[in-house]
Amino acid sequence: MSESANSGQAAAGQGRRQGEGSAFWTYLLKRLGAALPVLVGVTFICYAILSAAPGDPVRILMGQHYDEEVANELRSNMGLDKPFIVQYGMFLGRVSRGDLGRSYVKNLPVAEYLAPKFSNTIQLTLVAMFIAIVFGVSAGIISAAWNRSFWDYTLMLLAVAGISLPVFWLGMLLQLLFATHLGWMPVSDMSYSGNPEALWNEVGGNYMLWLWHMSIKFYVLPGVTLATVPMAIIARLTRSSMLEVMKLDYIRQARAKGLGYSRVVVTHALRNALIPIITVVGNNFAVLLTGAVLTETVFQWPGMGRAMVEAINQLDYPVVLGGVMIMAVVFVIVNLIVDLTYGLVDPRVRYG
Amino acid sequence: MRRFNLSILIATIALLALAGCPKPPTGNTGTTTGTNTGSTGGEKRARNYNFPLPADVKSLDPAHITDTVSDSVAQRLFNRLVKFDTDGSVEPDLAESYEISEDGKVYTFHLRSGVKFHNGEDLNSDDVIYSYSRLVDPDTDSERSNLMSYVAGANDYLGGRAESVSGLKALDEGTVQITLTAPYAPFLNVLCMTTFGVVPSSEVERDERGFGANPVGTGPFVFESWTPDERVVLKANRTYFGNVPEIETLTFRIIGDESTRFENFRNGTLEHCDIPASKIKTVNDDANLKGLIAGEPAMDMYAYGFNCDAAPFKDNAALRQALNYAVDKQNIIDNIWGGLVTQQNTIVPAGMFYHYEGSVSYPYDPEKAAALLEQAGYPNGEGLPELTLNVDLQEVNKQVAEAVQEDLSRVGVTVKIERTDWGPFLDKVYAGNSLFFQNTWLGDYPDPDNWLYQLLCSDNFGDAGNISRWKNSQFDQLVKEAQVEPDQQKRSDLYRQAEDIALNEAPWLLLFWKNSSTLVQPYVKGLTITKMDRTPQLNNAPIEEVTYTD
Repeated sequence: MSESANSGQAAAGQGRRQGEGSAFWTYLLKRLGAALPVLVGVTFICYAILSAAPGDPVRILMGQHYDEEVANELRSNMGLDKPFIVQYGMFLGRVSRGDLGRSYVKNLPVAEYLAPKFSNTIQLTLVAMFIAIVFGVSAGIISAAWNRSFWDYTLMLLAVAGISLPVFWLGMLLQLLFATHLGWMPVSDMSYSGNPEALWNEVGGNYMLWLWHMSIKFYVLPGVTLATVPMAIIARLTRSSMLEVMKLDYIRQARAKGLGYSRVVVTHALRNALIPIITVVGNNFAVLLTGAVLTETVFQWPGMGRAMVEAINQLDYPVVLGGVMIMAVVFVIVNLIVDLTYGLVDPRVRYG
Repeated sequence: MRRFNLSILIATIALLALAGCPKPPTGNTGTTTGTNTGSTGGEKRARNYNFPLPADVKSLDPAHITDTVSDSVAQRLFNRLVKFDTDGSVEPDLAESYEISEDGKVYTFHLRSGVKFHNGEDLNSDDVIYSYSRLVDPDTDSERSNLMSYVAGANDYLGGRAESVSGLKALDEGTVQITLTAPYAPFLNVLCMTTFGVVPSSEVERDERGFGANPVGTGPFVFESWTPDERVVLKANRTYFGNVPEIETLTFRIIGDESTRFENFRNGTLEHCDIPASKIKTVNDDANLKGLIAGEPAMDMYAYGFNCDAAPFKDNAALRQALNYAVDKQNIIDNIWGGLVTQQNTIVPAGMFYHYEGSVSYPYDPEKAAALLEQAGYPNGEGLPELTLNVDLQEVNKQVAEAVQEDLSRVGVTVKIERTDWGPFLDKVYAGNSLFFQNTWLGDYPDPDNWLYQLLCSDNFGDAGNISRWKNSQFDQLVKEAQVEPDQQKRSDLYRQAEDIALNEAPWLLLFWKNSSTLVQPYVKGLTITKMDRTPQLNNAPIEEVTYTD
């Protein structure tokens, strides 16, 4: 019965999509077009704040032997001697040609510097969100299905703890326990710093073991640390959203048809409870993608968060602006994907 | 349809994850690594030295090195004509020998023969001329061009008024002659700085901008790779003209957080590490860790400066002396720094040809402070405005500031502590907008000139180093005379007189010298930590001499 109902929905969905095709693309274009003013606005505000902030990048750059003449030469080469609005105009001009400029501090183009950072952050985010979704949704389902049971109370207590624990403290605690005392996990970094060939010989050519020591084990502690907060939020939200849905008539109907409790919970209730969960997952995803400063600092993860904090401290304007642009684009795209996913999960949602 | 989408998504993510996995080393590499040492641990150690750095490298091009972190890496890649020995004396490096003319203006260096750059090219005198000229080439934009100002013709070249630097000459393939505008006694010391590392002209000409990320030198280690914010990897230079390193790889690991560095050391994944101020108690209480400390008082000053060009400090030496007497330095040393710093009694640190105790010192003496305050016109601090003390954001520096604040309040002087980021801090202090501020200096070279002239002569008033904005014409004359005096005994006498003036006038509130206290793994031998080292960068320590024992 339910199978046929599902396929009926799918067919109806397809039929509707054909008629709605152009509306969908218009919607997509509109959303992407709206990103442009967002980017200009965000970078302008950012540039204004940076320019108004105290501190002089050249002074920091020069270190112990400051020399006014050399400093002025550097300032004019960097364009820092021009008025703020001219500098911002030059920045926009460069960006429109696809050039994010060159870092003042690192001897590298901004794009080349930030690309690996962003990739490292994406990797950590994927690991963390995977942990958060799997454990968070499971915990939420269990709590809702066995509402007011021992497990419900225990899991929700853990969730409250997860939200309240300072990430910095948790990370250091995990580091102290699993790395320093037990020695199971590395203290920091994201890959093995020694000679990979020597390690290959040490593990006797076992690829999985080698991969574990080379790379995988470095993801565990930062991944768990970073997952804690979103995991707790997802668990609590899944629980409340499920409880809401479980009260509805169609659930009673499904149960009345004689379907098993677990099947009703997972296939009937969960699907309808997903919309708020997706929103939260999307938001958390976007937040994590912009870099988790605290986790990255504790575990020395070479990601966006640390790169941005360092750039701000050093007043490395091009890197800060490049990073802010990447973050703005991430938010725009993730929000768009979240909105599109609503339609995928719930056929009642339409674009227009 | 929807399920299909989901499975595509999962498959794509899985594929991406797989594509990102590192590939196992190709071929059978068992023969290359061999089993020349017994245990696997020993084998691992024998191959790699994990060297912590507190921040990322900025550039590895000698012309653009301004910070101790970049310097620490570049030290191992390049050679200068002369270098510092571990006791701080100057010894030949690329130069086999050198002569200084009678008038102290002409330096002739005879280069070692058969020195090769890491790319296989031979080093000759033209490379030396090229490396030094480019420091003042307007196109290079070197932040350190001012270090060349002693060389004849350097400023003309920098200003575009000459085709070359007239004071730099290659007499033949193996001889370099440098002529100065005037005798300058510490010149050899200046030449020891990494800025004067010799680079191969061919490589720099090919890609000047990229050279800082892809350096080629002559040093004991060869550049392998730099992953920004993660690590810099160097390999031993097997054809090095000096001591060929026993370790094979030198991995600089960039770990910004001090407690993460410390945990990494305890976990055995760093060969040495600094002692974070927050862990001093942990280390002092742990006999095992305490046994691993190496280092000594370094030429690394932590003091406070008074703005001597503004009221109330201007023309009021009694007030400045009073504050010096009012601070209990021993309390700071014992209770905040756990004995890892050494009290500062002089302007110039110990550990060079010149050593002077000073005829004046400032022991903790609140009564004397009170008497001097009265003499200064502020009995019991009355009439003295609240002083704002500018320090940076480091936690330990805040603790020191609070201790000073408390001590000064006992004699009636009110201090407000203002902590800011490094950028705003520099802005405020360098522009002379602070009355009372943290004044730190890490010696570039072990010569009194680097302290007395650099930090207190009115030539360097303000920005250039004399941030206390103190002026004393008699002092100026003495330190400038000492610069051109070739006889070391006479130089020492001049510096003694100058230092006494400065100590008496008290432009600074003397606090302490930081020690280069470093935790070193017990199996690391031959790591000599010197007075010129700041930990964990250890710029001067010769890593090429490190060996491992088990």
